Amino acid sequence: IACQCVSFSLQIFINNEWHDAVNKKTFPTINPATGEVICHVAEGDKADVEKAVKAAKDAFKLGSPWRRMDASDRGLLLSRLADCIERDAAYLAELETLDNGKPYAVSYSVDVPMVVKCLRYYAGWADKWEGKTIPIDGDYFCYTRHEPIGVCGQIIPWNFPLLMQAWKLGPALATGNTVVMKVAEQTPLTALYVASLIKEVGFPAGVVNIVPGMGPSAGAAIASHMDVDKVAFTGSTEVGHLIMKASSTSNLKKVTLELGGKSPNIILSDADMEEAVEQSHFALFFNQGQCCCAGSRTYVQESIYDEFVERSVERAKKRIVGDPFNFNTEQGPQVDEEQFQKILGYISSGKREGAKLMCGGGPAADRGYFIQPTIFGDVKDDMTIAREEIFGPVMQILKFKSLDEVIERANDSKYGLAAAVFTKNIDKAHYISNGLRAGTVWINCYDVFGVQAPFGGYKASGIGRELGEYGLDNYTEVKTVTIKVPQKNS
Amino acid sequence: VRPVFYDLIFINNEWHASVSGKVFSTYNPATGEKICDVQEADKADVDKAVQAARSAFSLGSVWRKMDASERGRLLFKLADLVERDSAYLATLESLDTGKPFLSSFFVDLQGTIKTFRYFAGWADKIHGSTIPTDGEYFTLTRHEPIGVCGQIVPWNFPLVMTAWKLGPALSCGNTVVLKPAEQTPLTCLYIGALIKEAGFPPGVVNILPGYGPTAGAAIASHMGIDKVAFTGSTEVGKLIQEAAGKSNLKRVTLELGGKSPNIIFADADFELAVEQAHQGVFFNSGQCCTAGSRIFVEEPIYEEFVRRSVERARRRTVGNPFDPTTEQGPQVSAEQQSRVLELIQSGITEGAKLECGGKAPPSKGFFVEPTVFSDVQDHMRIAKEEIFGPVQQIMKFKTIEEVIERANNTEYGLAAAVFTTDLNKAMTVSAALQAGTVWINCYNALSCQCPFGGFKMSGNGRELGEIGLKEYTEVKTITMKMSGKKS
Repeated sequence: IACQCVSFSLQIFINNEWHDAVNKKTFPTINPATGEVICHVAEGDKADVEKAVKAAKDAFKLGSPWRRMDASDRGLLLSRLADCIERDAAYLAELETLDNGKPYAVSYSVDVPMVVKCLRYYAGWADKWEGKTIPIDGDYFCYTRHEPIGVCGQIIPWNFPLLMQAWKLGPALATGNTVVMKVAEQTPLTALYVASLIKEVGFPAGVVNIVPGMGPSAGAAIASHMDVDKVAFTGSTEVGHLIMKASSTSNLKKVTLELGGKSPNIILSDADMEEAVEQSHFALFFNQGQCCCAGSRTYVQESIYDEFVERSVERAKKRIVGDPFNFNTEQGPQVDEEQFQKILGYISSGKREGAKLMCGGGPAADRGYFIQPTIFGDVKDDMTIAREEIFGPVMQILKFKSLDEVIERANDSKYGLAAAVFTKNIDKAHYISNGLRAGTVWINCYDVFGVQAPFGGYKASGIGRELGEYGLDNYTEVKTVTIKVPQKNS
Repeated sequence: VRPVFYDLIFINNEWHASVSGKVFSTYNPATGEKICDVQEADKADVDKAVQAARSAFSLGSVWRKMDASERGRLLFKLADLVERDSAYLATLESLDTGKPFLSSFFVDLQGTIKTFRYFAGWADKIHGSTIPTDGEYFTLTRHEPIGVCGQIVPWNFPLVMTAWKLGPALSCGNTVVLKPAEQTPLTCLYIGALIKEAGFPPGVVNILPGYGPTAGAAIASHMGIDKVAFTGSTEVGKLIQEAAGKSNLKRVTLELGGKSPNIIFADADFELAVEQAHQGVFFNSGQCCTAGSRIFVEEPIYEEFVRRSVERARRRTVGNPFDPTTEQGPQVSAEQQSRVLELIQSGITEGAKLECGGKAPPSKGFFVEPTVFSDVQDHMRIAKEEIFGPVQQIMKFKTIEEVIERANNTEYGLAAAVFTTDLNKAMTVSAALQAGTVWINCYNALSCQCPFGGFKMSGNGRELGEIGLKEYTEVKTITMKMSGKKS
């Protein structure tokens, strides 16, 4: 691993300092390409969350450096953080690949640049998030202030560790909040490195605090803490329920959730076949299938179904699975043993329930958590693999006849995160995209993200939107101020 | 060592001599000596620049195809470069304008950098709308750049004014033909070099030093320019608007003169009011469009206020801009200096009481002593005309209704201020004043996040803030037939 002159520690980051866990516990983080331990990291629990929340609360006090700072200066700090991440891109991409297993070429050319863009985007919003003055009835002058909420708990997942950290920190810090962040136990390393950069660029102590640890302990402590004013969680729908429950039984902290998905990808017979096959492949297999918005139900119109399946299988067979540090590798390992077993379990259910295994279907190597790119054809809507989120390199292809039918089947899910439609016809494209109950709909493309564009789920895929201007709402308390005046004039 | 690097015309990221071969001189107003000659742009050069800007704006060009976030990146890079060279730029600005170096460095340069950074942040946040129109239609708006924008900037804050113009124009994706003032072309030309270094594509920004009646007029009446933005005198503002009307109805925004009222109530924080009123009129040798040049003081505190203002004015240090103890440099030119002295004479002739100052000190350069008039009557020239010099007018008032009426009794409406500790007075007066910016218990508190512009003949449109983007945007509505519309 390249040597860096900034020192970062495998510890808990509170008040711009590094701490052991109160109970001195540590946990190992594993390289999923080999199954070997990379290092041990301090394991934060309730007592550490307590310390972190206190630090964040102090940093948020009226009159603190953070509260008194010009909004434009908050923006400048975020911008400098982006610059430092860009400076250390090679190292961060390496560390991300080591801890998560995603191909280095992708960490370096996709994850890290997107992180930099996200922070720069939100840097720009800091001094532009305006309240209003309002023509209220009566002899009053009325305006709103957009204030920060306060101490924000942020719990991030392991599938895009750096990027998920940026999606959370960007809007929270731009609007002036303070943060207690719990990073995923599978992938704590890059977030801790970023903590050292946060200190380097000059964020006041206590503004960002990072606690590596487990969900049921550290995560639960955050979700139920009486002094945390808001919690944002990205992860499984199952845990999303727990977060919301914890909020309701503690202090009714505001909750935003980015959860699972089973996103329909609809291919009409007039689609550009080559483009549709390649994009659908990418939609499912990107990031080892570990995307909340993976296109995991590929609905193909009857007349092109056979050709589409044949070409998809051909493409999947060509997918290169291997060492993430090899530039030719397209697919690395799944993130850990637990995921690995879970995915193999779903593959078994597919076979059991009568889906047609077209390729793949098992582990791809003797060491590490690699799974063969797998495709099931003739999938029916009621099969487990068609209803539950697999989060692995397993593609489901289903057949449909008409537009209204496929819209109904696509919407028949508890999820509603994303969707796509491939067609050349302008009318069909809009008819379908208007009908789909999904937070993002892609037309003739998939997984196109821009930090400028809001992202989030309908139904059990989540609450609220991240990114774009919309993303600022989640981190804002609106205060209305009404002043009596002697005589109002327009 | 030659202090000036760029004295040519900037077109397509290249440096050009003028088509006519003519040059003009720019002077150091602290000494009256020539700094250097600069290529003088005229109509033929404007034609070349417009062609370059038009080409850079064509569909499919590098600039048109660029991600909005990338436009923002370039502007941010430009800000970083200005910051890198801020010591040099502040020196050059003081040399060419006469403003004190510490002012150039801490006020002008910071204002320039912050403005570029602010508008860098807007580039990918300029949103159109999707609209619930009646009928089976899908309607959306695109906020497109207007096209080629002519921008004419003044000599009182050359760098800051350049940033106020380029920031929003480039953020929105326009291309620019910019004419700096003939008195102060040097820092603007240096920005041209930084624009190239930052990586803006050729033709996106073109800088043409020259005179108003030639280069400026050519811009205002050019059939190939889609919009003109002018900051300067109301007199020339009228000419710009006329030229736009006579040519191609190009969109026009104007930031013009002012005769801003500064109202001091008896319950004001006295020390604060005296100092703010002083800075409000004397800052930048009085060469601010926002100068608080009519100070209305409530009767009970009038005498004391005059006494303390005179005392403060007498203490104002006038001298070499590069002396760190200097508060006030020269006026920008001999012409400006004469004009100020003439208006001072009119004050004396019309019967105002000259309390201190009133003349040019015996030295090289175009200096004017800090001057205070009391017992000023509303009909006097010094109470009606924009002086643009270090001359403070103090008048007396009795009631709140009276002062509001007198404050508004002007064709101008750029800024105003009220000093009071009473909440009701502050709310009432700030709502009643016909001015684009009203300051409460402060003066000249300007920041790039806040819209700025004039009521009445002080201008059209607003610069800065989110609203500033509107002036550089053309809204296109697209309506598409749909089958089966759904909410």
